[in-house]
Amino acid sequence: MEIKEILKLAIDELNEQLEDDEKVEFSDDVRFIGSKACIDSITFVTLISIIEELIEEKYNKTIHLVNEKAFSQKRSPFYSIETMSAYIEDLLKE
Amino acid sequence: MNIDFLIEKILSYKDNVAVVTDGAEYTFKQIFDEYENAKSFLEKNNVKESSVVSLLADFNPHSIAMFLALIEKNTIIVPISNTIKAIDSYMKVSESEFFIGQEEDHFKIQKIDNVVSHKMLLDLKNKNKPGLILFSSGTTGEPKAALHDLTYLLEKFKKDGKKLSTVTFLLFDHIGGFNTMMHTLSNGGLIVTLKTRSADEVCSLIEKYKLELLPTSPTFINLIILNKTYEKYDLSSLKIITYGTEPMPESTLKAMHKILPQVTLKQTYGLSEVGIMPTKSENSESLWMKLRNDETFQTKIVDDILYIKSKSAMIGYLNAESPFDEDGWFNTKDKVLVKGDYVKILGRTTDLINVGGQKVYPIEVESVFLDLEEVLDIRIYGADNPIMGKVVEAEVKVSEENNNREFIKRLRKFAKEKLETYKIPVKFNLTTKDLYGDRFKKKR
Repeated sequence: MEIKEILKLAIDELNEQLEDDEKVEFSDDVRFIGSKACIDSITFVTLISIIEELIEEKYNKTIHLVNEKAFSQKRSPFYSIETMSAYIEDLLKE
Repeated sequence: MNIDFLIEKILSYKDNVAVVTDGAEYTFKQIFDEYENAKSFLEKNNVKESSVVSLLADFNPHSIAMFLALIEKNTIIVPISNTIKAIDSYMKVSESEFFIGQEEDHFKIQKIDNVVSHKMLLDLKNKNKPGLILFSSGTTGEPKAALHDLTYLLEKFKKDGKKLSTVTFLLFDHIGGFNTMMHTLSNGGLIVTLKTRSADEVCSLIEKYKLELLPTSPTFINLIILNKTYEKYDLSSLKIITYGTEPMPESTLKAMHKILPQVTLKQTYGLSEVGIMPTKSENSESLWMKLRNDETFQTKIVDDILYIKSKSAMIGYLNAESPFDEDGWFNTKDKVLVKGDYVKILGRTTDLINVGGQKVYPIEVESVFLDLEEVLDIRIYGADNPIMGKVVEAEVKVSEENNNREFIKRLRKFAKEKLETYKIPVKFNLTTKDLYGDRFKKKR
């Protein structure tokens, strides 16, 4: 399964607990952090947790997305679906 | 001397049945005989007054009689229930000089090479008063050993109370277990002992012996509801269910009241450090309770935290700093809400989860999810998180068919309607295993 598909599944699951006007679109225009972020910090943490669990289920590999590497990168890997997906692929290769 | 009042009462109840174990009935007279035997046993084995004695047992006529004999002998008793694994460490902390174990209906005794050196133990020995050492059952950290002067704990049993028939649900080494035993014996009630403490065993014995009182925990009540054990057995003899030892989810309380409307559901508030406090629940559906303030118990609330000062408080911990302030107040670490004379326990401040500055009490989240039929049990706890500091996580007991990702989606959808976002668990760990330990208390 492609990482992007996993992100789609994670967003679907997260949307279950969000009100209609808060639901996250699966689109590359969506921002997860910064001033244009579509979700608050606790919802972001939930999304990250769901992604980690799905990765574990599908790849049988435990990863921690929020780590030093994430913070030290010039551009945050959580900026968009595209950047997040590339970041996870990198982590999985390690 | 110490229990003259009790022996007098026991002798007056003569041929009434006092204890039922494994279907065998023992009258008060037989308990008295067992007590005399136990006294001779201690004598024969050179157990001197003021010795520290560990007693490994569960409730049965022989262990009850031995307990009474040990009180009468002015020993310092360390009751250890059969579920305890760290027996050696209990004996070391309590500086036990004797170990008594039970094999069927007879006892074996062992002299232990310990020298009592703890100041509190030596003080009690010098006063030649009976003592009781209760270990906290906390799942984190080393269990704390609370040393009591037994003469204060015995005081309340001198007054006459309600005669009730009951089961020894709470364990032998628990303040609640001690309370059940002493209350029932001193008022001529009936004690039915348990083997497995399963919902079926407890309910079948309630039916068989028409028992009136069930002292238990919220987790166990939840178990009876979920397994519909109340449908299998006639529980109409029950008059009172007391619940304590952990916070009660409102949903569980209301459900139980609906099932057994004739039963008074009463919250108890006891701590091994201060004894059992007299309380009065507002009603059977309410978690609000009145704490009685009298000459034996005083309470105060400072910054929403409950403090207790009690005559029956322990002398102190043998292996930890004193938890009392200079005026003798004990900080329960329980956060409470106040409504007139009533208080409602929200939970231990140590269980409180601080999600980015917002406070979450596990019990309120647990209570919400327990409304879902498919949630068989739930434990809410705080987990470290690099972004929020702490976040809420859940361990949920489900049936095999719901042990999948789709069910987590349902939980999230359900949570949206009932809980603020920061209270919704970031992670749901599904399991088909039980979430409670030997004491029918959630593992926290």
